[in-house]
Amino acid sequence: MKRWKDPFPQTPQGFHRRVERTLGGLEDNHMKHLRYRKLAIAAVAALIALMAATAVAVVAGSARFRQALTEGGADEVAALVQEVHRPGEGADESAEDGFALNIDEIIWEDDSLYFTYSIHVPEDGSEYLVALYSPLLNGESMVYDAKGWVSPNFFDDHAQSALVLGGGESANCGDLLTFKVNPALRDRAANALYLRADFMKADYPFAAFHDWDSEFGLPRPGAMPLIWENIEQEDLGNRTTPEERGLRKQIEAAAGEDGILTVEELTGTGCAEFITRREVRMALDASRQEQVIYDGVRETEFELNGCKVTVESFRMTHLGARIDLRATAPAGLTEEEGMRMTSEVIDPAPDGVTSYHYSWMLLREDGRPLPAVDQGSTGGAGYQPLPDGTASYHFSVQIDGIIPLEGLERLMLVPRQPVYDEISDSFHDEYLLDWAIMLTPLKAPAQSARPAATLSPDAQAAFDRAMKGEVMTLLERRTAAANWQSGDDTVTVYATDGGTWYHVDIHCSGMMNARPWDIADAVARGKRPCPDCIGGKRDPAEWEEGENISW
Amino acid sequence: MRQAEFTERVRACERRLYRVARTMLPTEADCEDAVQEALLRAWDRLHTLREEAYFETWLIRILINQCKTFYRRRPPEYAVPADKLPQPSAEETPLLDALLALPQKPRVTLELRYIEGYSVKETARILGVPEGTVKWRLNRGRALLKDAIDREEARP
Repeated sequence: MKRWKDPFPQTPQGFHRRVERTLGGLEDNHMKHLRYRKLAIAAVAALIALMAATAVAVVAGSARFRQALTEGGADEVAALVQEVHRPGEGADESAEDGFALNIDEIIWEDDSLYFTYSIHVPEDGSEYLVALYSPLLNGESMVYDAKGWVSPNFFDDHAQSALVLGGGESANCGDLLTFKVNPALRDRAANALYLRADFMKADYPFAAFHDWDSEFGLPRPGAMPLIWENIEQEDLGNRTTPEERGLRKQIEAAAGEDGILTVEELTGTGCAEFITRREVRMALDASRQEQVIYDGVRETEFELNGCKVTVESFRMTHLGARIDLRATAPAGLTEEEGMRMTSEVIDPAPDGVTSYHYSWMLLREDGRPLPAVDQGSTGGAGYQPLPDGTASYHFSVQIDGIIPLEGLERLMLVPRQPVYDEISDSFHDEYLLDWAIMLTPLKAPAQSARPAATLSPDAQAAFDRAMKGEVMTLLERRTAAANWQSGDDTVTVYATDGGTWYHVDIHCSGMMNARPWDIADAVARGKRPCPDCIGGKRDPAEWEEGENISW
Repeated sequence: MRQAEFTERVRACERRLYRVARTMLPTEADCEDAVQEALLRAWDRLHTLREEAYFETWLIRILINQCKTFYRRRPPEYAVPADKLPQPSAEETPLLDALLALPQKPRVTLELRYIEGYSVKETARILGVPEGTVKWRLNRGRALLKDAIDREEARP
């Protein structure tokens, strides 16, 4: 492929200076966030020195997960967990027609709300479009947190807002969603979580829909983003009929410049037929939490390729798991042979420069992955020769995420190695099943639930509305924020950590990286109500257009 | 990856970062802000990078996301005042003018593919879209670009 000659002007000095300034200001805090990936043989001496320290280079995922797991003690796992759908028991919301939307599990920890959902369509060979709307908490859209990247819109980046199921594809799908929410809401008597999906039958070979490329986000109230991604233009002649090409033009016309269609607009083109809607309503409250903790495993020693492996600790909750192991290699092995037999070691890639290593993964007994936000293995304090000629190596595996623990009887711990494929010039993972270790987690005694608070009459009324899927308007939120007094029920506002103002409009004034706050916390931190979106400078008539409302 | 290596890798692809940011954002100031945010975010999320061989494409994806976020935070009628627009320089070419005038999706796709030299697969990975989508956008983008250049050349 011939590259074009670079048409851009020289990199401006301002850009270069900004890059240098940013790089110069980075904190070399690899102990805070680095997942320890490589164990350089040449660095063994340094690692032996590290053996004396108790710290292990473990940082993967959110600090809150680690806090929950490492502080110890069941009382400190302050997570609200609700098993609303137990795997294997069938869908709660499934109707006889085969269309179903379920929320399977919810975990709420501090300001992070996680839930898994699943969607089902009939397995009748037909292809269906499913439009999944942004979930609402107490009538408000939540801030989507894609792997820690907080985003103001649910339909951002990795989230698919519309799906194609059935036909040649699977009739089922599910996903883990994570959101940032006002942490003070968690202890309310009841919070309304609402999720909706519309099911349509497609008469056009839609490939996929996602909002990733929407240039304008969600500009219209009720606009459910269905960005139509079509197939290769040159293939159109072979893969679509003249009728389908005509339909395509209608879709493009209906979508307009922003490429966003509501369900009504799409079905109005005749390319899709609305079939049914499914809604899920969940009341989340502090009294329903269930803390399930696994502390330890039944099997504590294994033999692995001639090495003795000891499970030093194991702990698993709905928020993640961590297992620490120590491998003792027999005498007579070289250092490299010992490390290679047990855990992480560097193997150079064919280019001689890239290196990769084994990663230990924690899977279900049948080899399926546990749903998790992040999973990684970490190096420990290193490889240490012992006086008797043997050698010891410590390593650990940590996963952070939302894990349904009911019915989880056994786990598989198995190393995975990226294997280089010269033909595709890419890596693919290979699981070394011969080295797999089967574990039986041991359940810790159950903890008692927390008592529920009560809702004020106004809050109860708002809850009832939210359970019906009604959206709280910007104007209503502005009124609530403007009238809030200390001691009143919480109000969710948006602010950046260092900002002066708190807002009801997360997009106010071009604000970036805002997250939900409890208004009481914002006030306590010295923030003031935004003169634009709370103080009333902005014309309320603008808001009637539904700006920033995702429904 | 320690800071020193991160720094070296960023410096090695600084030119690319500029071109990508400039493709997506209309002013140099915006590009500077976006790249700063992207570098900070990349440093903070470095532990999510599973294969260091993919550092550059991963960083570019972060930058593109930042540019998109930046763009979205502006009002829908985002328009830079004329006196804030970068003035055409002697270095700018008709190709660049035509490229920057394209809609964002084909614009970014063309830039990644033909100026940065990424493969269709790599471009798809950076943008998080299927390869078929990349090919369609390249097709459409080339057609639009050709139209724009033809019109420019036809002007007296």
